[in-house]
Amino acid sequence: MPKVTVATDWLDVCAGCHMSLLDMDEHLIELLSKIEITSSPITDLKEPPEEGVDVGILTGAVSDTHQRRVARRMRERCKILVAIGDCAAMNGIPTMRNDLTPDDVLTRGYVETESTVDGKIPKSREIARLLPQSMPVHEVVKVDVNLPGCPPSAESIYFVLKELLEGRIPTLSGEYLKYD
Amino acid sequence: MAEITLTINDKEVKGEDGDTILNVCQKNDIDVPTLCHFDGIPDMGSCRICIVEIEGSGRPRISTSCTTPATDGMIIQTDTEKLRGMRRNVLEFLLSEGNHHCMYCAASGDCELQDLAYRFGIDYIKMPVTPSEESTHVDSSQRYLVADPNRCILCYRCVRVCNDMAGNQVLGISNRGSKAQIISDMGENRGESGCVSCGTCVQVCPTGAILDRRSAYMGRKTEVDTTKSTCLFCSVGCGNEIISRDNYLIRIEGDWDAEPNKGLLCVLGRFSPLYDECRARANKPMIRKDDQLQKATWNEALNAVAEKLKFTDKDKIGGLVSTHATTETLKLFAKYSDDMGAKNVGCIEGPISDPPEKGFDLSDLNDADLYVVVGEDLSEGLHQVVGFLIKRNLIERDKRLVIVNDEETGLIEFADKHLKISELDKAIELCKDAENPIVVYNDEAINQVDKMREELADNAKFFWMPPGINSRGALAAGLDGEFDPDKASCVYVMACEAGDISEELLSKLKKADFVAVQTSYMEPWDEVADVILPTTIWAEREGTVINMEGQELKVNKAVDPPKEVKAEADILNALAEKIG
Ligand code: SF4
Ligand code: SF4
Ligand code: SF4
Ligand code: SF4
Repeated sequence: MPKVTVATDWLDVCAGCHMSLLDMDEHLIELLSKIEITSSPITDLKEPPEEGVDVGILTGAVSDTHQRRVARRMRERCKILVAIGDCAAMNGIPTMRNDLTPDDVLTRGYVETESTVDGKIPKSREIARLLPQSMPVHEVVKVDVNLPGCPPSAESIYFVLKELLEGRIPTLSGEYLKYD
Repeated sequence: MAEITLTINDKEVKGEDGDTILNVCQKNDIDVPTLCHFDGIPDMGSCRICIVEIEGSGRPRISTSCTTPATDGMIIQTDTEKLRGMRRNVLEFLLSEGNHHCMYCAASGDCELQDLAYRFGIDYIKMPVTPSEESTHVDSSQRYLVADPNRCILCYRCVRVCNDMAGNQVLGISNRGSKAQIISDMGENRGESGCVSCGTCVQVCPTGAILDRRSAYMGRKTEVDTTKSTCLFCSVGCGNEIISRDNYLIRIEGDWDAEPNKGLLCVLGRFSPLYDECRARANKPMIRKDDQLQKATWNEALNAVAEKLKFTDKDKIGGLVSTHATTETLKLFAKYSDDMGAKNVGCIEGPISDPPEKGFDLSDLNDADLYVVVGEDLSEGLHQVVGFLIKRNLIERDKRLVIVNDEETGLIEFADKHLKISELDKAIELCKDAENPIVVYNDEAINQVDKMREELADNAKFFWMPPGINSRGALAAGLDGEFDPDKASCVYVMACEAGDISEELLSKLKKADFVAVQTSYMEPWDEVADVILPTTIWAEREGTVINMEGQELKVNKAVDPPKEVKAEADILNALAEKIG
């Protein structure tokens, strides 16, 4: 049987969710007999293959133009999209800036921070622009499975992947559904 | 009450006239999710989680079960697909407004909103998650608690308990709709408002919107130990729950099931013991040598005291006790003083009057129509919970409060009349006109109250506010006399936590030949003691006390004392053995 292909990517987020993925320990080895991880921010290959994958995993909220592109690309290239973590599923920590304008946020970060001298907001076409509001992934593209948690436990990520391998869309409850 | 029959989820169930639909469901073990409902305060249906479908002609009506009276013959569904969907929507709206990012919330794990979100399997929120512009100001001006309106779901529990349960009338609501917010007084910071730090609001808040500063992030309900006990800071004897973790005291809460207070506590019982007690603990026996207190073994310290007591003329021996002690310990103290023939024995608070009323029932305050408070303050210091129980009754129109006191007291703003002591006759007249007057007084007002008793005979109830915590226990032990420091050359003090000692008494004790103090804290006894015998604090004590009502209440040990600290009774027994 061909392996199920999985790609992951991250958006506005810390690396905690990906650490939780690695935290599956021996389950990861077991899973690797059935799935192939084609690409992820923590492997050599970063971008999901153009020919597409079965399962796409996104961590993080969508807060700038680059992240929006990454989210859309993953949606186009995967059959089932899983949003992992509070930031991806419920907007999480990045929501903190939502009652400020992007300008306020940048000024605070690059100019007003206590340790900054003569700070300037960097301007370059290569730098992504902040969106007016940070959003959970489902506000930008259709999401098939949301797995909140900060980060979600390795057990709950394992549970979600196992359910998908069994051909079911997982329903979260009990220990698998946590927001912290 | 007439019985009524309803059909809930296709089953016939019984209720009583006057029940709400929620009451009937709860009586019949039918699980209806709730959020703003809280036992003991009036329901208001603000959260809409407890909605049910009521069948009638046409489409079923959807109503909040906590505010809809149950009537005979009603047909109700509590758990349909439609209701589940609506409840889910309500929860998503609550979660989407403000800051419900649990990863940095101290309430996470102990939050009723979070519990419901888990129960309804909420794994994402349909609407945009945006902090409300109105409520970003976190109020940390209060010494003991922090209010974070961003985590408030406007269930109004805090408003209802502050007003209806504790009678403090501090919290209210400003604005309407999405701009609504909980405010203190007219919008002051809570630390500058009339908040009396009773902490009732902290205890009922279902979310992380009001937090006890000290215990935030120190352990969830599942990680801590809870010990039911009795507050040892005044004679109301409020039932409390001592929260600890790994033998470390975390927090004190009111016990909703306890009789005198029904969950209420005051600042002295809830916060002060853990926030404001900053004296050094007496944690090893000490003996004064070369005018310095120096560490000793228990054996050396007890021998030093036993020697003195044995060879001092019994008329020169004095005994001074604190009513922080349990009745058992007070009785033991009385027995050993008797055995030694020591008569100069009394309580730190001074002699105790022994009122003719051997007890009363604080819940009678709810049936009174006139409260006459003589001598007591009730708004600060001791017996504040009695003040709350009176104030909350004053919300009812036909109930009046009269203060008889030459000084201004804190309750005056709630009172209908403030009389001078010389106007006592007016108070007596008011009592004669009232149906159910209750006179609340303390030992300072004994003479006035004797006069009232005479004139009113059985037409008024008299509630004595004892000077000490376990004064009634001291009475039961026969320790109601006066200790005269001038007549004692060798003094044994059982101080427990007591530290508020007059300068006069301290300076007289300094002059005594020998002073042994069995105490929980060094201050102020290190000034006068020749021997320090370290003993337990309230949370380490076991036994009973008799409260102002005359009820015997259980004090339970929540944590173990430090290694070298001994229980009061163990010290007394060890000493008695050495004296022989
Ligand atoms: S109040 Fe409750 S739901 Fe809101 S962040 Fe805190 S734990 Fe989560
Ligand atoms: S601590 Fe007591 S008085 Fe202060 S706001 Fe809360 S309930 Fe009201
Ligand atoms: S502060 Fe807490 S108790 Fe008060 S309304 Fe808000 S959520 Fe309810
Ligand atoms: S009223 Fe007295 S017994 Fe009750 S909490 Fe306050 S100090 Fe403790």
